[in-house]
Amino acid sequence: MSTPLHVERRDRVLSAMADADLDVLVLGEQANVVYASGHHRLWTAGTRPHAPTCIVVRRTGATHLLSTWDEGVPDDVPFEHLFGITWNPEVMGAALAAIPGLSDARRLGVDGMTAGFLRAVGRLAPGAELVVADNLMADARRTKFAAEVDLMRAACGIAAAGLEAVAAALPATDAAATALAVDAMARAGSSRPVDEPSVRTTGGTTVVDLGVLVEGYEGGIGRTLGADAAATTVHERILAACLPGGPPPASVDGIDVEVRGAGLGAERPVTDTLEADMVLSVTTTAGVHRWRDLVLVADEPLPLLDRNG
Amino acid sequence: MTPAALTNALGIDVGRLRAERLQRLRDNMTAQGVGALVLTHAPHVGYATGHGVPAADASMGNVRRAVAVIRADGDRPHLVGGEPDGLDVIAHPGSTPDTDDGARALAAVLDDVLGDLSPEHVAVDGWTGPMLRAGTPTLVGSADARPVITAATICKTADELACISAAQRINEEAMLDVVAGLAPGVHRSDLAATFLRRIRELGIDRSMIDPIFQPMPRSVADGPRTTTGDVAFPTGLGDPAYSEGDLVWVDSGITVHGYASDFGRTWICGRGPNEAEQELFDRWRAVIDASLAALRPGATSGDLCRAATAANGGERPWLPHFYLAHGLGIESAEMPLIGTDLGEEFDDAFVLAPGMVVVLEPVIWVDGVGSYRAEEVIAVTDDGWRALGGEHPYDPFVVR
Repeated sequence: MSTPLHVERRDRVLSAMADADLDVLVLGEQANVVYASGHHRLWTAGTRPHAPTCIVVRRTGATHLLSTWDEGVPDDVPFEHLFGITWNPEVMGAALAAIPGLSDARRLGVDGMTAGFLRAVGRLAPGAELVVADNLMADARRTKFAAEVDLMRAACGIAAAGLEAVAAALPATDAAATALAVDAMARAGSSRPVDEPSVRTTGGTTVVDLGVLVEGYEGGIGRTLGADAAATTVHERILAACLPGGPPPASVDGIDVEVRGAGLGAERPVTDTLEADMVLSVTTTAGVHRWRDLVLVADEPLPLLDRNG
Repeated sequence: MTPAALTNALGIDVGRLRAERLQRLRDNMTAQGVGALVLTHAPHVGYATGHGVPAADASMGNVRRAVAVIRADGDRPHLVGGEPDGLDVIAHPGSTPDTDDGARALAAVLDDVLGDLSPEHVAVDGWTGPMLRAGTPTLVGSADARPVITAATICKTADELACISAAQRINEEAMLDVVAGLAPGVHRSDLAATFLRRIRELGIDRSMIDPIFQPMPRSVADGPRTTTGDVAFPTGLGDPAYSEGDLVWVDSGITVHGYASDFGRTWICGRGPNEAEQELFDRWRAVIDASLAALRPGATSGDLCRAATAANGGERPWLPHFYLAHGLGIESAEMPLIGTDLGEEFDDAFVLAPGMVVVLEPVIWVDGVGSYRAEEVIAVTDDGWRALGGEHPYDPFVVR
């Protein structure tokens, strides 16, 4: 049997911690927490105030998680490693203090901070040097395991179901078409958006951009309905240029290209050399036409939606 | 009714809303000796500047993050990055401080705008990794922005209350269609689809939580294991199909001008309540009635907790990892938090005041029989309280 995805990811994080000589990693960013722990939980919108949510201890290899219940927690994170929701900083402090390996950490990585957590760290790990570890996590997450690509492919399929609902609804107001797209995507398997769904009609064309999450992984699609079908070749050429060792596709005269990483939701803009097994969200805009696809960087770049909408 | 029509009908004045909030922030900055705020959390940025909070995943929220900078002695707030069109702000171009370029651009603006202030007079609500690398605002020595935010937001203006009420009423209206679709064999995804479509038909495009329609076990032992030994809710996972007689706990939240609703009810799949289930609802009503009887300016959180507990035969009628009641506004749960693990001393010291929002969410649980949970969104007034919702029905339970 193949290694479960959450174990592959955690091993990669532990290896990165070893390379960076980190004893403990305290993660608060949702995507980082999911990556390191495999924890699935309720989706809520927007930025999160930073809070210690997942603690990875290199010496023990253990993951400790903020969760009041074990549903959504991988089997190999024992119940004893969960600490429950609390409103009380003292309760939180005591829960963290009980984590073996935290109090004597020499180098402690964080992916964000608040003044409150800085005070807590001073008490919990008084000797620790704080290390900014957002890049460590971004690097670990940059190239995808096959199981991650599979989840993103599934999410792309759900986004395509939303696009089909819009196409079937036209002519309709943009708001009405968006409502139908959201309905169709939820029934197809995801009520968790990556971004706000977009349907914009100008003149005779309707630009649609939809994205949803499956187990935290992003899928998405952008298409221009009512456009000249032949114009799509512009976008296809851009996708075909997403090659390992090459630069990210760039804008050229009259064609605007936007490239960012995709994975556990939106990742950072991609500006440096592409690597095999990265997944990119590529948006091409040419005149009234706009397309977006997720594409796997490979010698033969592979759009994750296996048919053209 | 569309949000625009509702906004007009309720007399919400967005310009006044923003001006009054900014004044409250500045009043509390002055009172707490804070010279400037640097805000990175989207609801805080929205509160200070009117900048929108997208109903997008946290990852996209980070990519599209704007930063608000407010001086206590300044004029308009500064907005770094984001979408400043239509806002009364001093706009600084910039990208998200979740990138090194964005964090360096922010640091340059802060040097320019706050350069004369010492770090201890600059209060920050959170640092991204790139902000920590950029070193400005400094992590060690800066103040915490949260006490200012809490003090400013805890009592709502009339416009803020109207926004919450508008959101609550639209949320309730959307749920009328959803409950009509609950039947044996229906999946959670079907209910979510109807809700998310219906709010858009009603003019709302911001659902701030994946709506919860969780079928509850009849016994704690049949649910997930918890650190409290109590009920697991809301787990928000999976796509269960409902069976006849399932007790379904419902929870959702949408926003109007950045202000949240909080809808909570218990539904039964495919049939009405039996006598034992109806009695759970009767007890829940008794707890609500007792809580509301105790709710007035000058009452403490402890008074509410004691009234609710007495009405439930001496047993605390709420989930131990949550609260009897919580505030509501720019966050789906904010101060006042009533009946949390902050403890009785905290609750007894916390005095309720006009303008506070109190979302009562008692839970009646009789192990082996079933449960009832619903939420009532209430504003504290000068002489008591008023409901911000629209008297949404409790079907299939009856008020008797």
